[in-house]
Amino acid sequence: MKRGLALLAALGVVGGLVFILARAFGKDPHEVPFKLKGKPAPDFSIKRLDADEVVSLSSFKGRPVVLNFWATWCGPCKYEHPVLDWAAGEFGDQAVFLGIVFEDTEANTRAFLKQNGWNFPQLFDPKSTVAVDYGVSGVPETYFINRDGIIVKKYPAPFTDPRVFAAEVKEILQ
Amino acid sequence: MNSTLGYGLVLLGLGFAAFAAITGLVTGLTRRESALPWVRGAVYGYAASMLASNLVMVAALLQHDFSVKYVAQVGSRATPTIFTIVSLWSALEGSILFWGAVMGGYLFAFAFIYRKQHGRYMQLSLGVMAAVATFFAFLIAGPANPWVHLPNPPLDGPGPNPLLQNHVLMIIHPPMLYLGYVGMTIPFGIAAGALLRGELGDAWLVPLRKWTLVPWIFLSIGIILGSWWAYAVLGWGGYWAWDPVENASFMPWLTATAFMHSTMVLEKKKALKLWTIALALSSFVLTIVGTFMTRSGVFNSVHSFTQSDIGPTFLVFIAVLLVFCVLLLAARGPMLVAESSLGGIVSREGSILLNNLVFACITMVVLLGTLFPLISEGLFNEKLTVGEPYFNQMALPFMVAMLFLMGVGPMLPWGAADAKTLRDTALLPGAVGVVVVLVCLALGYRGAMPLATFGLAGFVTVVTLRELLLPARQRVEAQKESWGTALFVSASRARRRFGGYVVHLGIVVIAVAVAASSAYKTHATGTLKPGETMPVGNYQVRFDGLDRGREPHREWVGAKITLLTEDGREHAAEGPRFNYYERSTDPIGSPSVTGRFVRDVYVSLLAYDQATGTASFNMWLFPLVGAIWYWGIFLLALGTLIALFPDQRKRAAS
Amino acid sequence: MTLALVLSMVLSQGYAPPRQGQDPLDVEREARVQRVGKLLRCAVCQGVSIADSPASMARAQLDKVRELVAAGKSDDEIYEYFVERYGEWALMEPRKAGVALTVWVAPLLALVIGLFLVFGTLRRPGTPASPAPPVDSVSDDFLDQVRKDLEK
Repeated sequence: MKRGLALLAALGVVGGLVFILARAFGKDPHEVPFKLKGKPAPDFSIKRLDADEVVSLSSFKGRPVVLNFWATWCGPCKYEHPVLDWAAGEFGDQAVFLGIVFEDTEANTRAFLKQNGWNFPQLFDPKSTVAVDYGVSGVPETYFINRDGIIVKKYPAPFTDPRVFAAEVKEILQ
Repeated sequence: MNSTLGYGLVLLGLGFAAFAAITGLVTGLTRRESALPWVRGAVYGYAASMLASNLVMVAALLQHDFSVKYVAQVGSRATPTIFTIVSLWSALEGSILFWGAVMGGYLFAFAFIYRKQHGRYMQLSLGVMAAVATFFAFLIAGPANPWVHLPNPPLDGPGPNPLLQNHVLMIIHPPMLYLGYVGMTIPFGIAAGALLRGELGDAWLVPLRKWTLVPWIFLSIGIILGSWWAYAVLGWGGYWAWDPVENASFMPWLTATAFMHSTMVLEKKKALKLWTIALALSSFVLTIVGTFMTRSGVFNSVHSFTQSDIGPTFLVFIAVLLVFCVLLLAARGPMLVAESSLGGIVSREGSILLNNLVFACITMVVLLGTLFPLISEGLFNEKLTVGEPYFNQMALPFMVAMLFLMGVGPMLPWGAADAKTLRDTALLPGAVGVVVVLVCLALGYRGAMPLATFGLAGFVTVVTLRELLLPARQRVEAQKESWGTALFVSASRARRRFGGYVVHLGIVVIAVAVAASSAYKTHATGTLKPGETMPVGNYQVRFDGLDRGREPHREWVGAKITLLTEDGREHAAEGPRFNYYERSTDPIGSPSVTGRFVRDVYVSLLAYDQATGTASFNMWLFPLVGAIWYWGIFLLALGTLIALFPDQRKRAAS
Repeated sequence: MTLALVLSMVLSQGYAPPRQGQDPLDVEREARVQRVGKLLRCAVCQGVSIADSPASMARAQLDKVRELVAAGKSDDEIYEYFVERYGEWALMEPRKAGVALTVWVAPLLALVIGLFLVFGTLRRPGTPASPAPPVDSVSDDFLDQVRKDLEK
């Protein structure tokens, strides 16, 4: 009886262990949780790269905002650059588009923008303070902020398909 | 061509292994011992095919035959030859292939050495080992096949993982770990064979113990080299981060060490049979779980170089393995009854039981801590972190307790201790321990943990040296031999015991070095202009400007530094660098480490600015840290060699 | 070849330019920064704390800790800042509460159960040794061996 119980308990532990390990498949262990969803977007005031102006989030009160964190040394950021440029043209009258360059140098960014062009204001975050405030965990990352200044979603990957971006942005336009 | 040949050899090995497993287990269980030569022959065949397949892979790597998938994945014409050979184990498929060769080597050695002995167990044991080999051969042939032929081979490849190319230690660290991991198959086979047979004779215990010691020392060296590598390459000023993969190698080490102690009770008292066998089985299971952690991509780790789809296959194997072990222990355990009763808590066996408990608790801490993020996410959908601070808090007290037992155990006699004798033996070591603590206090060292470690280290050292020297002293006094001869002769008369105590000394050295380097390190950080100095402890580090260079496989930017000691003397030091490898998004730092035994001056480059020529540094002084790798590896290896050295008397007799 | 040329080659391949962090605070408050930083997980690294990681982003996070320390925030408020963003994941050691308490308590429970088992296996003090054990348990066969060798 006692032996039978011990055997059952041991098999239970084995089953539990295998179950836990099996559940972990298909989940990305490197994924960093993001908890600012549904919370007010932190305010910031930083310098614009393409004009002599300091931009604050609070000045866009009442309008939806798309924030794109990127850097010139990041390959995927280059791939999504045209998608974002297109989107800024397409949805620019309904939402504010802002690029924030972090973990980078001003000179590199200027050179990059000169070469590739840009379609929406690009801000520079020299000490990555804004990135830390927003809980950035990789690059590129795009934040969707609604009219009430609430973060509706963080998209932690590059946009390669304009349709995907269009679907995401619709949520904050309503 | 290479693909076909290499893959054919893998299939051949798979066939041999499967044949050996089925024949060995079936004929072993039905006790038809005439089949043993067949099993042995198939094992030799497996070993030969796996070795040959690995040689073909090395040849393909050296020829840059990019039509082989694995070569296209890790090879590159720019990589230096030594790293080209090493890239055999630098990614998943190659490392599993290499695993197959190591497995072949172990199985061959085991089958060959005991070709004339232990007939009653050999079939079952070889059968179990061959079953494990079959699984790995299946992995190589299927889910992790490195031999896939690419019809349109690329002209050049990306080269091996830059982290692996960054330091020479990476050449020997992985093979050492594999030798440790794979080697645990042998004691597993021995133990499972005994359980399947339903008896555990004294004679079969000797191979079980010796063949645990072999992977144990490789695992120990592998772990220490891994920590050395992390220290010398990763640049964060540490050597052990309780990373899942470090934990994966530590757990089987813990259970194997516990096994080595409980086996003494088994031999001496014919007790703890089930527990000892369970430890032998779990050491192997934990190596497989550890490999799963490294290779499945389920764990977030610095070392998870590779992600692949072998995970599910591996998990099925783990499940089968665990159920097999549990059922085997449940079915055969009752046959392994204790033949004598044990003494009280104050006895040798009492201390060994406590030692086993402490090892089990540390294993539990490490296992639970490593798995808990998965449990939390899987069951409660909450991602959380169990990191270094947790493991330090939970495991370190147990480790200090272990140090204490390491001193108490050898003093205690088997059975029962006589209070007066005990007081007499404990007096000197105890006094030394107290004096060590007082001296440290007087020198201004504070902190409960490090002082407890130092005091206990003094205590253990005296106990251990006394045990080592006592028999030699008896010879010196009785026979007027010289100390050297007396030591040598007495050591060779009881190698296992002598070797064990040398290993204990190695552990004491490591404990002291770990305690000193983590409790009394000095840290400084800051940004310097060329010519400026920054103090770290009683050293000054002068920044002499930025430097740069180019090597075939990388470019680097470094800082030139000079160390200034208190008396104003200058010491040249190799500067810390950033190494830039093709196809790696982040530079890989290479810290500057100066010093050997007493202290290391550790400078790592955090950032540099080409416009102003300034550089930011992280600097540390680590007292005694080098002793972990220099003395630790030396003493552990020396002790193990002494213990394993073939017995001359027995050889002469047979 | 100038340094700038090497760097431009290097940078064109796509590397994050390493950035310098803020200067440390005074000794006492900087010690607090490092202590708190040790308990916070770097967002872009592999399981290391922001105090340990050499990554540039970790330095930005440590700068944030510095800023909060300088602003007079308590340790808990600083942890909370990071938990707000990354959840419990941000803490290098799980809290001693809720489900995570298991990870703290289970090993101690194992220790207690283990002690019971050990003492159950061992002879209780005061009871006599089992009659006629197969080996003479108090003798030391190693020293016996030495003595035997000496007698030869």
